[in-house]
Amino acid sequence: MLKILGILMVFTGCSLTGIMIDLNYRKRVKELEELIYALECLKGEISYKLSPLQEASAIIGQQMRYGIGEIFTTFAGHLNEKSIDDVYTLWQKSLTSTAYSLHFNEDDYNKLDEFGRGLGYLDKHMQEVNIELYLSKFKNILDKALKEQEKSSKLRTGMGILIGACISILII
Amino acid sequence: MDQMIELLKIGGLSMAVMFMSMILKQAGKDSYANMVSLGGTALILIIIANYILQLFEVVETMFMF
Repeated sequence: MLKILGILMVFTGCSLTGIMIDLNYRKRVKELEELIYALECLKGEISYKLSPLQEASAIIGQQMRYGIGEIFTTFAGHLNEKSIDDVYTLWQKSLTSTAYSLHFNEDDYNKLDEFGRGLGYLDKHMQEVNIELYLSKFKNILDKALKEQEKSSKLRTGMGILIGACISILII
Repeated sequence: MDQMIELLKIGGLSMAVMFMSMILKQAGKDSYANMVSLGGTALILIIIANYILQLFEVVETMFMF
């Protein structure tokens, strides 16, 4: 009886691990899509509404989902406090406090960090150029992530279940 | 009965290894697929090693007068 219980637990554990890993990758894709949308909105806010960075970030923070909004809300809060003049340092602070709860990988975080370097630098045109540059970079990352997900989605779930099955068979 | 269970175990393991290899090949990870196949074969060989030994002993006794 205990053996069967153990086998069931091992099998469910392995299968769930596979499914969870796959879910994490799916969440990353969703978050990347939301980030691209957020950058498009930020560009719109700065170019057409001529909003200052703090105001634009606060508006975007309210609109976005999946934790992306949280980055911009925290950033707007830091900008509002005006404790440090350097916008990049404030961006880094908001990234470290919020973004690590997201499902991005190291490369995505580095790109997000680099994006902060151009934020609030020089004039409106410079902002637009910076946002456009990172929009194209994130679009490339999203394309790669989508292709990878299409290729490996079955692999992660399938391997989890099959490894569970193998261990269960060996335990019997 | 024990032998039957062992037989089913080997069958199940080989099926699982085959599916794993198929999934890995579909995902374009051929080297991993080969490693899994090799590992599965080794595992099954370890399971049946005892039976092969028994078979040799039986064959040996056949030629003893």
